Amino acid sequence: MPPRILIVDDSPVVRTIIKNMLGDSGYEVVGEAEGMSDAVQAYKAQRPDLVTLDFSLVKDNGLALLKALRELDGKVKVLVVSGTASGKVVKILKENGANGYLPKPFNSAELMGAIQGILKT
Amino acid sequence: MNLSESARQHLLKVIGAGLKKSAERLSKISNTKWEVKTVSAQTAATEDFLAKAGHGPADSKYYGAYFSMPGWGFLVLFFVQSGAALAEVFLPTNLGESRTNLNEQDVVAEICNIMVGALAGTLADTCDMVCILSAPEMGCAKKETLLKLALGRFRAGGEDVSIMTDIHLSSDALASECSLIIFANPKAISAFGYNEQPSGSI
Repeated sequence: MPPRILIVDDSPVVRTIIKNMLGDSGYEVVGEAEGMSDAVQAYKAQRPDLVTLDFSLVKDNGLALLKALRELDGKVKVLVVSGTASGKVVKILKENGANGYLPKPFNSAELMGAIQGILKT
Repeated sequence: MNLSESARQHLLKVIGAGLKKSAERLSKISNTKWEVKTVSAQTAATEDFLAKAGHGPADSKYYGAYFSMPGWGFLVLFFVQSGAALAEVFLPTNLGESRTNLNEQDVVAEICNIMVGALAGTLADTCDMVCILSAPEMGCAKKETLLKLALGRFRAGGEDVSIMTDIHLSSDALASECSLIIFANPKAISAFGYNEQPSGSI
């Protein structure tokens, strides 16, 4: 059974690109969400193998959503993607339970490598 | 705020390091080489500087993306054709029907987000701060109009402009170029640990 992925990003462009990359690699996209409430609902309904999460969500704080997902399910696997390459942010994300961090821009091989690295653990 | 020449040079060096990362990201997005061509800086938003930064071919439209983080404002300007060319190479070629659902301005917004994120992250790391970059505010208009709007947004926060830089990046292979204009207020500059100089200094 292919890995099941939930995409959380407020940019329709990024959601489309990630969905395309995942589909090409045989992964199943079980949902897409733009913010906190959508993401939490989708996670509860689908229980994906992994969540890709944009740190810089417009309406909701990406860090708050990361914490919310971890409270919902201590075993959730989250790959944070972000355009902001700040060392301090990466440190905070990992301290709050992000399983991996992938800076934008990324290609398909980089996205798959990051996801596979997390799913193996 | 007046900066000493050494502080000004150090600040420009930090900005330069961030710009290099921004150019690398654009290069990765487009598979072409992007380079920083010119950087000019001014310690106030003078009319001359604004006129030069806002100068563009008559009746030409630009995509403008404005971002902010505490103490900073960033305006990215792409000539519409340049933005379109970059958007074209950014999107995967096999999107099919999904491609038609995407708005070109939204694609340019995401590209600008990736580009500014590199610079903003560098600035934040230098000051040991958490980088919280706003979502882009997009527009499509003449360069001068977009610049005035961005400066108005920056000043609406009660911010004084301590330093303003005008930067040009380009890709010869893609026949594209963009401008990046940065505003910073005294508090943002202070975070670098510079001491204010008596008036009369640069």
